Amino acid sequence: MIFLCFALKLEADPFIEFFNLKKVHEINKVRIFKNQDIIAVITGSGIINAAEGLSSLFTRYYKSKNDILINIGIAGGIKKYNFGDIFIINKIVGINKDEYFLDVNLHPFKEIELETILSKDINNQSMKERLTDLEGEAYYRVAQNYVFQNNIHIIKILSDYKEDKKLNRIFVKSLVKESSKKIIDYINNLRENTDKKINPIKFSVREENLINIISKNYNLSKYLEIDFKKKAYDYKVRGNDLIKLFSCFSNVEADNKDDRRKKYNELTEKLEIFKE
Amino acid sequence: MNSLKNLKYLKNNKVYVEEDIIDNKYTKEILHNLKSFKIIKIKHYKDVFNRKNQSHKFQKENLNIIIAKSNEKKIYKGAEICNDFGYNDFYYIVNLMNCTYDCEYCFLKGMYPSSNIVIFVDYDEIMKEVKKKLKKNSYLSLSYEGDLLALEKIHGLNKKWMKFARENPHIQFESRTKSNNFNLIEDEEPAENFILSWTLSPNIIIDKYEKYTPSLEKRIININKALIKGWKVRIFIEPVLRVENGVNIYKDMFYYLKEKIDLSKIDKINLDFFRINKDYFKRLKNIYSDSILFAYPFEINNGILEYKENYKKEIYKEYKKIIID
Repeated sequence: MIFLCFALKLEADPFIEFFNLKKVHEINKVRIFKNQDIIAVITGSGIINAAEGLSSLFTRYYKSKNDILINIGIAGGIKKYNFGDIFIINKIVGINKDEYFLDVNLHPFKEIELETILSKDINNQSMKERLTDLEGEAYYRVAQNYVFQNNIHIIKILSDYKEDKKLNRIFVKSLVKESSKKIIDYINNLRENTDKKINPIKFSVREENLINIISKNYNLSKYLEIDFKKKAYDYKVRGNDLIKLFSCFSNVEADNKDDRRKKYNELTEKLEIFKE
Repeated sequence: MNSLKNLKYLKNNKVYVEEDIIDNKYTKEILHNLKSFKIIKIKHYKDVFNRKNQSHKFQKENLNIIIAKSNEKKIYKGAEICNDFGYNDFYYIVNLMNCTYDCEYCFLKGMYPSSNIVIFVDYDEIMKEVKKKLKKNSYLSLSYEGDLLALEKIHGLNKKWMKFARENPHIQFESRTKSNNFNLIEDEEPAENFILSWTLSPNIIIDKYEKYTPSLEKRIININKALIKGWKVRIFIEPVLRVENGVNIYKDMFYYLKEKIDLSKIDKINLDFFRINKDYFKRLKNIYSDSILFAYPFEINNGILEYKENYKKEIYKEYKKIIID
């Protein structure tokens, strides 16, 4: 699953439109849009909204550490760079000057540090060569609890210089729209390559069914059931035919606790046999 | 895992440097050798190394290096699980954590949260400590948690330790490797108390489970070069893995070694089977959930997972017949 997160609707619009995402929730200020494999959230600006919105997204839709989180948003910078330049963030300095480091993948953008600040400090920014935003730290801190570090992508579009006092909404909207093309290419590459990742070996439906039947017939405790599944998985990984083996055991039932243990041991002994 | 490698994106290696040691002469030496790497300053190596949810698979494909200062403790007593070669005082130091190779069975992936490579540059302090603490006939492993020779081009540590070894003849030093970088140190005068060891595996194992390491042939060429130059060389056939047709695969390698190396000139040959601390095993199995390496039935003895006896006996019998007898 790819999660896109934005602070503002104007940042999200080109992506919602391109990926044809449909609104599925609107709770307080958090808006969630989705299609089959991409889910977007608009959290509202500032670290509290960002943390709250992204947590709510993960709580509902998180699947595994292989999920990808992409934050796309505007940021302030220094005059060395041009409006519309796109950056991948490799380090974040937080509101308490804590530092966070991101495992950055190969990418076609510029790379830079980001400082997340509180909105009250907007007119009091450091002039270091880094971008500033109001949410990056929060997105990162929430995401690192869920997905692999290398699956966190913070992408920023330079929209203003730090000394500028006010953002022009129409200008920013067109800037995001223009930059979104390159970012969409990047997302599509991530998406395509995520699909290509080899799926680990899984039980087939028939194997799952047989496992359930045997667990029930043997009246296995939760602990033994987990142990049984682990042994069955390893047996399969070693290239053995689970269905053939299980078919011989699926009609056997255990009468009592001792009998259960005995029969279970017989079965697991077979599971430890392997091709040499 | 680096899914974007097929695209024409720029290579993206980073070197993280602790702010306090950015002016250290050894830091400068390393940075000089990492010109294409992007430098990122950090406060402490653990800020990068100990992060949550790092992907070993990703980091092995995207080499990042951290330059840091080591903890207060600089010398460690060797773990019981390791061969102490008959030395009561078997120690190791951590100059390096992790290495450039990606061996599927490597315990370091179970031990550390990260596969980023850490180089501790307070070499002078580490050496001072070794000099102070290690008594006569101590054995010091230099590459316990990383392959020192594999990264010699970047840090030149083998050369530094060789110089130290010559000044401290009462200590035995060992640098173990899978690399074919002997050429980087071949001009050094061999020292009687500095052992260079190569870990060997059959090519079929190397291709499948020792990603980025040199082939068996290349390692053998390096061993023979070192022998010609008069170095004290040891061979480690480990970890012997359980694989399909394993007995024959290892048997073939034993014959091959006998044919290609004058084994009488080797200081010591050792064979050991794959075994691992059960907590590290759990983490490795999480990373490689469908790897056959971790799907064999193991026995647990004192918290260590080992293969069952039969397989070990068969291989050991061949090893004894071909190599030892």
